[in-house]
Amino acid sequence: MAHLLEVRDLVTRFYTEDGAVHAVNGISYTLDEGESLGIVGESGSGKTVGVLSLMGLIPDPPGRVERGEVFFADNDLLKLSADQLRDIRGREIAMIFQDPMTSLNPVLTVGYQIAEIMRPHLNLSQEEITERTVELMELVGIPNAASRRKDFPHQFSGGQRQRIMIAMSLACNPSVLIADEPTTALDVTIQAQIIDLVKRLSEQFGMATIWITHDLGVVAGLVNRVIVMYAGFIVESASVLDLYKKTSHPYTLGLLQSLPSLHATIATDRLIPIEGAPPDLLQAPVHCPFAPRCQFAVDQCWQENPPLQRVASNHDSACWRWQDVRAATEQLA
Amino acid sequence: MLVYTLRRLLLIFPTLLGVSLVIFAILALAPGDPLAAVVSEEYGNTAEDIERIREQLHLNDPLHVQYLNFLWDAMRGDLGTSFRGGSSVLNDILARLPSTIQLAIAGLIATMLLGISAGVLAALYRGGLPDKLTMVFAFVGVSIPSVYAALLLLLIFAVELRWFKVVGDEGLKSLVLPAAAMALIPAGVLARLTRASMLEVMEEDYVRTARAKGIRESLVTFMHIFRNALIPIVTYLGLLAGSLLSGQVFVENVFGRPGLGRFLVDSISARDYPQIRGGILFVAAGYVFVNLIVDLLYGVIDPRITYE
Repeated sequence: MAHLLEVRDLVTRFYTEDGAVHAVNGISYTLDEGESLGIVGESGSGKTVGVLSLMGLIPDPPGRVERGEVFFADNDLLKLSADQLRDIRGREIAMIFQDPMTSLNPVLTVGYQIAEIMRPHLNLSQEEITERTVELMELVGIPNAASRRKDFPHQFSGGQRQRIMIAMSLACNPSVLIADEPTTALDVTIQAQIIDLVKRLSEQFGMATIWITHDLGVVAGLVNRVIVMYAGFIVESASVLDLYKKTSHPYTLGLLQSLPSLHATIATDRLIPIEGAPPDLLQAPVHCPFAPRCQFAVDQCWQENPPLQRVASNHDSACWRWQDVRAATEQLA
Repeated sequence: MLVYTLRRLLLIFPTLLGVSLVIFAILALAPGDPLAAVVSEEYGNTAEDIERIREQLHLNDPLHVQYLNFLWDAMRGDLGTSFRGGSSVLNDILARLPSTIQLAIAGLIATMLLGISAGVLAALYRGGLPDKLTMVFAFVGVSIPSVYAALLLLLIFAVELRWFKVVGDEGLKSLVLPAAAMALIPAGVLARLTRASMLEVMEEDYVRTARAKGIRESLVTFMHIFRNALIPIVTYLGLLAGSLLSGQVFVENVFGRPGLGRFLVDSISARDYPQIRGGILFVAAGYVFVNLIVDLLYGVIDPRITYE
């Protein structure tokens, strides 16, 4: 079966005064129709830059997509003209951003901002657009939508603003929805509501979703498959269950061990942090980028960057010692 | 907002009261005799003549009486009569007001056209040719005094190219060269300001959101970037509009326009107190008015700004 979206060997760099920042270093993955994919990693791991690259939203300069192919509906998105790509953005691939406080334009009404995405993509009259704007606002749970569409973003709470972002992204019935840490900036109580809303609506409309997050706990119940990124590389890719039970990369293991558990007591089970600092992306990667922080690291890790290799069916890892990591995981469990 | 506007309009009275007090105090403290330029024994006037004129002009009254008389007259719309010629100060000013306002508006429009378009282009093509040209224009524009720019423009476009008359009224057309001369310096400043403001807004998250919607880039630029970049632009234009009402003596002189700026400078050099007071009061009122417009515009530009 052909994939809905296929990313091959994507490389994105930022050219700064200090040198080239190696943000994304040749990542490949696929997304099938209706599938739900999680991309997990810490700040600077390239998870956001990766999806911005395929949408043509990397600010150039200083950023540049150096290499790669992104197949969507028989087109390589990276080879499309600006006009062609614009036609896909918003209509076929929509995005929800991290911080709803800053992602909406403060001087335009929310109604305008929702309506705006429909104008170039849908062949609707002004009245139909207004009608659909109100429908969408009701769909995401904004009360009194008909009058509130004339309000400005600052008149809404953070959670409501994120609901408006969601309404906006759903407006054209996209086939892919990318949610870039949509709950990071929200209260914990609101986070669950927003996650539920996106999950419910994406299932209802049959959209494939990509969840970008730094929180393995968030994606656990949401997605079929998880990609773990580190320093611009995909270091592990597996189903949620395999990722938890058959962890095959030390970074993933580190992430899992630093997650608080409901069953743990503070006295006995302390969280285990990942030692060391995030990698310096100004250095062109030669060895395994995680080696400096890895308790499993051996000489080979400092000489050769391990490629992403198949370790089980539908389970990839980029680690020379994945078997030892897996053994350690199983022992812990 | 209506209440706010009315309250701000009422504030014009205490403001003018303060201004009048300051002018009165300054003129009283200024050394020398205001009448010296009009009547003097050197001109053959006798000491009695001078004393009679002083008495006529109430210059012998105590200061506070002079001030209260002035206030009382001003409230009834009488700004006094000129020491020279004895014409009504209010009429003198009103006669010059249309020309002044015309020139100020023309200068403002020229500044906006030049400054904003150059600044927007510079920001959109950051580091490119439009950016470099704009920065050179801004640098050169700010460095040329408006009196010199006025003479240059007159020389090139009126004397050499003969597109405009050197002297004589041509209606709106005769505003072009003086407006251009006035606009040169502020347009340079405005271009830099617009560029900086646009570049700052371009980094905002909501600009990325707008791009992610797949709308035309011109809409992103205008609705999302430019609209949010407007606040510093409007602030600057407000300050400029105030100063254009009074500060364009050189341009008025070069182009032979009877404006308020020239009126003020003439009356100051002649120590014509009633004219000075009247002129400054008018300019102050103009500032108050322009400031109000700017403050109301803020609310239009940015809905987060409210008036209660």
